[in-house]
Amino acid sequence: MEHTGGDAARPFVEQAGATFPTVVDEHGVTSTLLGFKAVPNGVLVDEDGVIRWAKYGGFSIDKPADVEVVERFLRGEAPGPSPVRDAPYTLGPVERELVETKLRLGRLLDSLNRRDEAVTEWRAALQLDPENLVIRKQIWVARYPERFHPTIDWDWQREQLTREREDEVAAGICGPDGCPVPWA
Amino acid sequence: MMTAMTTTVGQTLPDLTLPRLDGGELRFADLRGKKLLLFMWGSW
Repeated sequence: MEHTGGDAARPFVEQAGATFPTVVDEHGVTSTLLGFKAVPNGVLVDEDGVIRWAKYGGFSIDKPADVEVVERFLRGEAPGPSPVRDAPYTLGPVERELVETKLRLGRLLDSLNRRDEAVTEWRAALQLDPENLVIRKQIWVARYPERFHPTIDWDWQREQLTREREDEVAAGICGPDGCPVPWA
Repeated sequence: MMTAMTTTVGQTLPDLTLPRLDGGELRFADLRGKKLLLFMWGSW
């Protein structure tokens, strides 16, 4: 389940040789529905469609502990308790709809090459939901494409996040302790 | 889709239809009867 758009995702899926279906969620529907603010996430769903386990942030098939949970679930055993979320979704329903609407409007504007207006909408969304790393990265991709193509500059992302959090604290957006941004 | 409630562990995953990368659509309700691992990631 990919969160940026098909063109950006395709090389990763091909490189991984994924045999499972990959879907694209460019409007952030799952983020709102499941209430997560960062990826990578793993969610286990049983045969009846009930969510049995979820790890939001830092889920990886390279982590033995995560793989063990999945294998237990496949064997028919209880997957165990889900990790506690670092930063549970705390927005009220009205704010959440506002964030989602602004994200959607931003993506529409971006698709019409009205990038400045798109970023304005995304910034407004981020101000409402400053912990949301998905929105923050969307802005970065628009503003600093050279940090994402041809390769992703992870060191820059960490530095940029630190800079932005300092600015936000100075502006009083997230309080004296900053915004609790989950970092996968 | 607009929804005010966050779906959590122990609740039923709402039905969703999302576009597949290889074309067509995937409807989650069509996957009932199977165990699923949903892996969410971003290319950034």
